[in-house]
Amino acid sequence: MITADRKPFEEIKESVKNYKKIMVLGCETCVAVCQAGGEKEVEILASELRLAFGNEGNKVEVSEELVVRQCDDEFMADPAFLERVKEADIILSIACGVGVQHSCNYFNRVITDKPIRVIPGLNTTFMGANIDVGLWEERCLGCGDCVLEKTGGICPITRCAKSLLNGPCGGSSDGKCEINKDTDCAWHLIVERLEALGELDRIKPVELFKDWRPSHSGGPRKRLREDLRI
Amino acid sequence: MRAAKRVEYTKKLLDEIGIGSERLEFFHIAASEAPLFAEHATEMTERAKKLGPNPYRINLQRESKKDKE
Repeated sequence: MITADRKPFEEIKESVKNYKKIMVLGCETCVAVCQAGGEKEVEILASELRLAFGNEGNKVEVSEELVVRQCDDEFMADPAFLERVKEADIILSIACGVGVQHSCNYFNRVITDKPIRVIPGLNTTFMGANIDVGLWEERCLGCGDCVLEKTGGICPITRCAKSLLNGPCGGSSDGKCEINKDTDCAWHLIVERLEALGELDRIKPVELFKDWRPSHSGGPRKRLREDLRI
Repeated sequence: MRAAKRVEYTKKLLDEIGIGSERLEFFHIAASEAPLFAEHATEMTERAKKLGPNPYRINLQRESKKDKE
């Protein structure tokens, strides 16, 4: 899933302080699971804003809204919801960066008589897995050319600090990475996994280079499925 | 203890919004420790008196008074 952290409250407060009608818009998918932008977080942030502004004698209206996914038109197409969006002075989206951009783009596409202002309440962090209660770790960089079949299901691009294709490097010590003793050396894990599988031969050929063209290095990517298009 | 962690988190929120974290406290008191309970209850009462009413409530009351006028 995509993980995110809430921006510091002071930063959020500063960015909405000049508006009287604020809509806090949550997203029920990834950021709800990582407890940064779901229903509960919408309630907490909206309450914080009401209390903080109320405390200063600043009268603001803070409304709470939640959609299933801000990265999909169909979940925001409800006319009553769009009417409420239009009434707000600013939309404080607590979705990931994709949701913030997409909802902003969508609102301004379908609401033509007024520009809609959408700002982020979260810092989007990474694509990761829920490792333990309250713990998420990065697992994929979306490089567009997956090598997991060669590396025992452990991604060296994401989990090796140097994204090495041939590891481990000299900075690996007791299974840990030199950047941080809490960070596992991805190549140590890869060797252990392949050894257990009896497939160490998989990493014997030296990988000369990786094709980075399908990655973000080639600019923003598009995915087109002609068969799905109407 | 998760409750203690949650109280810590809520104290942070109270500081952020200007209500003040000192209005909330977590104490660990066993059922048999009545004197300790009384001691902490007195401590919190004194603290609440010293801090005065919740500033948010004062503002709300001021606003509603203004509206009535």
